[in-house]
Amino acid sequence: MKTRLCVLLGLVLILGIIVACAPAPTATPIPPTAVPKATTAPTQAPPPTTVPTQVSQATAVPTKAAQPTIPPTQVPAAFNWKKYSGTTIRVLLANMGYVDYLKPKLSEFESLTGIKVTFENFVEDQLRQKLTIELAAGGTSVDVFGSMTIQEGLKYEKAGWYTPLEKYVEDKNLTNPDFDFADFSKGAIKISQVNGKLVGIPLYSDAGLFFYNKELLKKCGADVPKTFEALEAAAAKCHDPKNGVFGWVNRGKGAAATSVFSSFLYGMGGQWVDSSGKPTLNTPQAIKAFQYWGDMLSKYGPPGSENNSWPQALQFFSTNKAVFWAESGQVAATLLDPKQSQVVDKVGFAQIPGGQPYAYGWILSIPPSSKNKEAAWYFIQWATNKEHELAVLKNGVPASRNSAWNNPQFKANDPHPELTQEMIKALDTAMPYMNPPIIPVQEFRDAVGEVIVTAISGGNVKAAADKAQQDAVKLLAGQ
Amino acid sequence: MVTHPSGRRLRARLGSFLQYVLVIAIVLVFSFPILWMLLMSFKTQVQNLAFPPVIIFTPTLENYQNAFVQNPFLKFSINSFVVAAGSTLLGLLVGAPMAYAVAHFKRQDMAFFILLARILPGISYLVPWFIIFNTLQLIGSYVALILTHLTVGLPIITWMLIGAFEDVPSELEDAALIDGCGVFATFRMIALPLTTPVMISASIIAFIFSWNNFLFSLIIAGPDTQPLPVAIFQFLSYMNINWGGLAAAATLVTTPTMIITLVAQRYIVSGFSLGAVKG
Repeated sequence: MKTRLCVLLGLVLILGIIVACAPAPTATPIPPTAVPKATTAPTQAPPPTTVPTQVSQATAVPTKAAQPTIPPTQVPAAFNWKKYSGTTIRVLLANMGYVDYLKPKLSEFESLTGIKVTFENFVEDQLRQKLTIELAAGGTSVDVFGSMTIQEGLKYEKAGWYTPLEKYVEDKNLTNPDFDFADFSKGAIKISQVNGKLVGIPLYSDAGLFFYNKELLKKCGADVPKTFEALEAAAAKCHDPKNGVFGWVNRGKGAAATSVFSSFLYGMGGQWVDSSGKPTLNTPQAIKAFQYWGDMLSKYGPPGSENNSWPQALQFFSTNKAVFWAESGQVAATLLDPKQSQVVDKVGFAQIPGGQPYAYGWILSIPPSSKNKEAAWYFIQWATNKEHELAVLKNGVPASRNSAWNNPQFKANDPHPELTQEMIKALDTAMPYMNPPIIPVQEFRDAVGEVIVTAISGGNVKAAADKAQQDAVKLLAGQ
Repeated sequence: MVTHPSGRRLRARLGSFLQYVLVIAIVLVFSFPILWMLLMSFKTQVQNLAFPPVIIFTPTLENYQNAFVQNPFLKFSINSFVVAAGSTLLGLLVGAPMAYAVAHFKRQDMAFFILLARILPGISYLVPWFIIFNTLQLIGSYVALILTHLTVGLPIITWMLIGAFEDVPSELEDAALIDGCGVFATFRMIALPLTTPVMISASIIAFIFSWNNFLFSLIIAGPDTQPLPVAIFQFLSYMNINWGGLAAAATLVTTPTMIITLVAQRYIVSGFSLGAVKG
């Protein structure tokens, strides 16, 4: 009895303290530095002391210097950018090349529109954690967020966290005529739709690509493979572990391996789930793909491949230790950066042999809970405009706009036309197959990952695939 | 050898020599990751990716420059310090009387409830917390961060102090009572001074735990109050990892806790053993 009373009293006390603290935070024994508290409520006016550099949290870039560079001619007289001047929007994005480019430019948006931007960027997994908790808990302060539809699109859509954007695109009062929605590539639109609805505007869209080391390939006298059989033969021919050269590197670390594996699965005629939504992990085609993936890594890959993800594969390939590699096209930017790679002038690009390139990318969306949807839409238009898409393409980010790829100036000065050509080809045929079109993506990938690890370590692939199939069926039955 | 010591002395010398070898070997094993981190923080990206690893290289300070110039690491450090110190002080303020009450009135069952905070996985609080702090408009404030970090430090402080207070000889407390002290005066004038070393060690441990806490800070902190462990991840990007920058940032995060631990080592060890043996 007494204990229960004490617990109850304690709880009341704690709640009391919290409530008492709320209106006057200085009442608690907290160092005086705590006074200028940062409130994320969008309605509240920003503290007068905030300088533009504080907006971006990690990079204190001298933004003031960048301001006068906006030529006034870029602002069309017809479109009123200043309509939502005075509002503050909060933008949450994952760390990526596009974000590194965009962050120093935020002050340009602020002076163009008068909208203040609170910009937060995180590693992708942390962004997902933060977004999920904030949106699930009914937070209203997120105005723009980034997501990857093939990973979390169905989940977010089911939870109602996407505002359909067709209405905004068509509204002439809200959309700058220069925005030119038709300019986005087909592949980019594919990754921006969930269940046929436009849920975001693509920042960039990437596709799986095949990389080879020209110098090593020449040394062993093999050709660039075009089929799975040719790839295996060439990898076998070039595999020279005694001299520290491996025929093939790729991901083998369970669930992490599934994205690139998808190109091989679909290339061999398999699929994640059939048209009725039933998993198809133990079909003969799927088993063949698993076996192939496992054999390639165990026979021609570096030892311990079942613990490798893309950073390890990158390490091997960028230091002249691997002949062939398949990975998302975006790693090309790293491979071509002399500060990060030793294969800058040795890397060759091609389509994944016999495979079906996978497409994926990040999109910008507005949650229905946002109180500044129009200002948020202004931000999205600005962030994905033609000028920015072209600029990121020059930095090696696969742009989502056709105008960027076809820009004559870009074409003329393209230092890697071979890469550009292969990227365009891959983006054209790529499908958003990287992950299964289901909600529990991560659990499904875990089940698939176990088969991949079994295949690499030389276990019974058929038995492992049967088990994964059972797990996947159970997983989807629970939905 | 010039002198010829007797066999016994030789054996003793050999014994102590082996002892040193063993100690050095064990220290090497434990300090290797830290050494590696230090080395990485002075290398360029290419050197960091090189295989076999480069041992001899010209060190670069670029990574540290990046940490301080491109990222406001000083601001993140201040945030971390405010939150860790605030939650530790508040934890002491609440935890010490609580621990004394548990020890003095033999209410171990109450102590269990405090431990619950450590038993439950932290993420299970986050949604309710977010709702509460969001309603109170406290998301992103130091107040919210300090309150959430209490769940990290308070149980440690309380449990370490319970053991310490139980070790205070009851004769001393009885003597104080006879001299006219109430329970609170006994706590303040007898128990508190006698348990200062434990209190210091408990605070240090609570401080370090709060300093390293990542999950609560990720969800509750705003852009202006972000502490170091969250900020450190800015060096990871989609399909690109800046190893050198990451290592430099990790070194900066680790250094204060390392210094604190080295300076206060004596207290930490005595704090751990003080509650252990009951007389």
